Amino acid sequence: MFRYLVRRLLQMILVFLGTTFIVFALMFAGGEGDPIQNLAGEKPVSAAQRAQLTEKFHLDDGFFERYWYYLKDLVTGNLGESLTGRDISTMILDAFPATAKLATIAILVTIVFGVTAGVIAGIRRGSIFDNSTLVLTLVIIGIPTVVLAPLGQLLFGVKFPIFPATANNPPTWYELILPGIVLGLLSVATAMRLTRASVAENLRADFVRTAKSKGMPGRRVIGVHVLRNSLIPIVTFIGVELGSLMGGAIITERVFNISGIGNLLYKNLNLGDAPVVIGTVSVLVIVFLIANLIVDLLYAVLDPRIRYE
Amino acid sequence: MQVRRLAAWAALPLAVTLGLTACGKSGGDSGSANQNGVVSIGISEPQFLSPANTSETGGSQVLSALFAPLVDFDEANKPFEVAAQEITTTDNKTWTVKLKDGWTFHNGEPVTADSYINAWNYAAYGPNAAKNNYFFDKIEGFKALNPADAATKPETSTLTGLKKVDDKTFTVTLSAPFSEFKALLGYTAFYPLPKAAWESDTAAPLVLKKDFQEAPIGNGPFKIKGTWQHDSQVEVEKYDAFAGTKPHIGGALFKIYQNSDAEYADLLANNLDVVKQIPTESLSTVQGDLGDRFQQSPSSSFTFLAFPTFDPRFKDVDVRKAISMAIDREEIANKIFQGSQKAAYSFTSPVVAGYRDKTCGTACEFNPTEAKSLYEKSKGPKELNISYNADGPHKQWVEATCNQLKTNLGVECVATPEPKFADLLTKVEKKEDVGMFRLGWAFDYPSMENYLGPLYSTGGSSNYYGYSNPEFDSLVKAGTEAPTTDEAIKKYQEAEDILAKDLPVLPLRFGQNVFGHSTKVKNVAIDLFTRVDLNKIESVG
Amino acid sequence: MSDFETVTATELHTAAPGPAGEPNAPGQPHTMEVSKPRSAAADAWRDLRRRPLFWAAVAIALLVLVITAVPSLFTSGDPLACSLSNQNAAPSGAAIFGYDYQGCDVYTRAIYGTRNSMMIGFFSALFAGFLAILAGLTSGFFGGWIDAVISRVVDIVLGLPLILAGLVLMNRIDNAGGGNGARIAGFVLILGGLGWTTAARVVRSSVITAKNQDYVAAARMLGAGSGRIMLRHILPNALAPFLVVITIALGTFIAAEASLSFLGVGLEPPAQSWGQQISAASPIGLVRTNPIPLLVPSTFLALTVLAFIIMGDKIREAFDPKLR
Repeated sequence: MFRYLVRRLLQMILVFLGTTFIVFALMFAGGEGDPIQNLAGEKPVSAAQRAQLTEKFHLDDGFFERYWYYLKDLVTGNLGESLTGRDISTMILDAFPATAKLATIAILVTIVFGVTAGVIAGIRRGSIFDNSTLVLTLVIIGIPTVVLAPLGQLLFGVKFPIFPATANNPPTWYELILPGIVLGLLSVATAMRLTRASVAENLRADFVRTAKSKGMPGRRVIGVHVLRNSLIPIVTFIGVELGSLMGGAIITERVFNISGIGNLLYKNLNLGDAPVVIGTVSVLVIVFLIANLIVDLLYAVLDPRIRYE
Repeated sequence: MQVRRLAAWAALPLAVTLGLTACGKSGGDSGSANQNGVVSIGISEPQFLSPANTSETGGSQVLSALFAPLVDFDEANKPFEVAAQEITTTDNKTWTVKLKDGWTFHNGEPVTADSYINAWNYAAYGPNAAKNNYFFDKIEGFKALNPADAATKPETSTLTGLKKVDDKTFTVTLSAPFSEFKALLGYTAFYPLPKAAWESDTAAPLVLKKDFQEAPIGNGPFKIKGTWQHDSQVEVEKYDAFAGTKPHIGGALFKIYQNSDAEYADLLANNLDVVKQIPTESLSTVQGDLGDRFQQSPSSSFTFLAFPTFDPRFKDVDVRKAISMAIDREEIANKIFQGSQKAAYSFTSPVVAGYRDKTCGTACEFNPTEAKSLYEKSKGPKELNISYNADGPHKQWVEATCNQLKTNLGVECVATPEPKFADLLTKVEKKEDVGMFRLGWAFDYPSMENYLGPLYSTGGSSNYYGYSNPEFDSLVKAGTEAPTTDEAIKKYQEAEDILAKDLPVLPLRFGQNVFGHSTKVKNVAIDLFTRVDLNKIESVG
Repeated sequence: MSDFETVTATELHTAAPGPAGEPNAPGQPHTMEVSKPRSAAADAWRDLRRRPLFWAAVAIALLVLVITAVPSLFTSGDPLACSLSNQNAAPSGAAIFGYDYQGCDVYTRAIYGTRNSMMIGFFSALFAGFLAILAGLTSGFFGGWIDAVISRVVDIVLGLPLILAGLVLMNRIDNAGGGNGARIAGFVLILGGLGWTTAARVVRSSVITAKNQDYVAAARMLGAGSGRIMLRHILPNALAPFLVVITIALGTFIAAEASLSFLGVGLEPPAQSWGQQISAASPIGLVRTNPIPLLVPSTFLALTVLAFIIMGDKIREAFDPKLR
């Protein structure tokens, strides 16, 4: 177990370097564009001014030179400064709580609706409930967030003001319920399909038949044997999903005015602010890797047959 | 859950027609003003909060609360003194600025001639890479501070044209006479800075404190409350020792929004008092949403289509004229912009003195039959395209313009998006095939010259299409150096007439501020720099 | 999950079961692999023939394919003939779903948008599927350091922001003067190239389960080589869960184009696509005045996705003897 952990942590360092390198290369290859003009908006930039800014932001340095500077700073825990002179660590720390809260709500929505519906559908395969939830959850896949988010805001934030239309910064839990539902709905379909398949599978497993024939009541069979054994794929999914939600939801965050990671990344991608984009992605990758590791460790807890050595 | 959503979908059109009229009639300028009320105004996250660097509307809105300018503009857009006692000149080259007595910064420090000279020197000093650096290029000594090669350090750090006379007076010497220098002083870049802003106020060059912009200290009617809460808000409160005209409100809360749809949704939900720019797509429902709390006022923005001079397809002026006549400007202004922009038939904006209607003449009048025959006669290209930047709200109108050209000229026309404005410019600079491209302009100071100079003169800062006419250039130059404004305007108008003949660009529309406010405020006005006028706005109840 | 909402590409993946957990639990009978290789398919076919939902899905999918091939069969209109005089005009005989903000015929545009959307969805799914099988099979079968390397590559791909990749690639295509074909290829490259990871995990876990089965050991003892074992005995076992994931992904790929269009990296006019149409009609102000231009392409999209998912689901069930 301990050796496994050490090995995974070492691999994480490699993955981290790999990802930052690729992102760095992407920014360098054109993702950055022309940050000087972007900062000026549609106002003109004079040649002298351009020369000064290029010098100031090291825009004309070579790729490896810039990557080396970045790594050197990183080792000392310094993510650097944005083109507008803000400390990038502070920017990420400011944005993270909003995204984390939003992700939590979204995951709860996914679990409550997706997993519950999936269990019922799995037990009553082929029933009306099964088929109608199939259609309804899949319709959601057909409606992109660009549509779902503003519509939800208009209906439940403005027309029938059950929830706040937009969030403040930092947002309260209450302000994030509506965007959280919108975001969570996106993965309800998958969570449901996955749970349904898993439950249906396990209902036919030998150990369930054994338990039933021993005279164990149905509810207990489902609660103890079926659910526990169905949890692994769902936990995987939820884990990966939570990891990616931590990376921020660009459209939902924009629509509901949530100043989270998604917004930070989108805004600075548009500005071509390479230091912020790379810094943010670096942090994201770490969050993601940790989420994956925790999921892998949970397997061992849920399924005693799995051993890590 | 899902069932409810489906029902909601079905109910939507009904709800739109029924529900929104309910809150329509409640607007109006009624109720008694509350001198201590705090109004909330939506802005975008400022890039910077320092006079030398702030140029976008979010930041300049906040600075307009924290700082008072030397001059402001009256209803006729003529400059009048605010922080200045008087601004005088005899030759339009050397200007004497005399400051009012008794003005202090929010930290109690008196506002002196040095406050201005230091702030201006800082912005003009090339290595500081200040965004508003170019505002100082008319002042003597600017070149020495801005060597073309960034590696060379300037030998001096002060403008030779700035001279302190006494604590309250200084002179500005320009490198060439400029009759409208006074109007220029209304811009954000010319605010003063206190001694407390500098690491050391005797150092040369001056170094601005790193965290100054987190809580700027200004000379304006409001002082900052706490610090700039990034991506959240900036709050300001009345500065009691302010020596100028006092505002009617106790403070302002600038709420930062990520997009204008969210901002508008908050206004509808009554969480926000003022939205400065209502998204175009929402204008068709705005009357029902806001009633008489929806307002419009002229802005300085000007939208036009440019023909790159490197593209041989547009070399013939008749081709350009035919394209111009095939565009129904009124239809686009009314249908795409719901009347929130005005069709343009001139090359400068109606908000500046000297503007004349329809200087573009028949070339800009919609005349599809004439357009088509002229286009065929001059053998215009069979395929047209109009490039635009997708990071601005241009998609709808560029596509509509293309559709008109298709119908009226019988050609193919494609609206080509570029992700960002910078990408568009890069392509133009590389002389790639962009076809026609959209451009917009909003002035830095209210003068015809601020349209003619940057947009159409040879090497003008925003003349990306490469138009050049020496006769035009000399008329604009004669205008800037003319002894009086009236004489200047005469020269500018002569220059504008040349544009009508050459047609380097097609004027399309003049912008408007389309803004809305809640029932909790009144007397909302937007000034020429798209800022809410904090001296006029009042809080109700 | 309906599109590229989150920054990383994970949302592409619909089901993301991990290494050990697949519906395909251990103990599945696979005797037919050795004795009668074709009976599984025959069984499945017999099963499928009796399912009306399957046939409904097939009908929709076929219809979509015909629209893709010959859009002019379904409308006589021109998707590019737009006039502001028709702005938001109500449905009529000339245009059964009326006109949008630009005065374009909503129905005709949706019909003509089918081809590009389907191409993006289908080829992205194909590309992602190819990468997933390749990676999942190798990683699961060989294990050890190969598995570790591939799993970490998956981690890296998951960490990359999709719009960043989209922005860079589209800019490059643009600067190279690439036309619409190049843009579609670009989409396939990005969506497929970032969207294969979940499917790969699914395949990998099925492979791990399968390779420890007795029949694999038997085949090995009979002298079958690694390649033969992988292709003949292990891959068929992984196909069913793979199909579920990849059919849902097909839908998310189509929807993803809408989100990328919304964020400014999409197909360029005059190319038509559902995503373009949806993103153009999605500003909330427009939806409030006339929701039809949004609803029509969304419905096309939803129905197509639904058809493919149901097909995938039914095929999977048909192949899985325990669920019959």
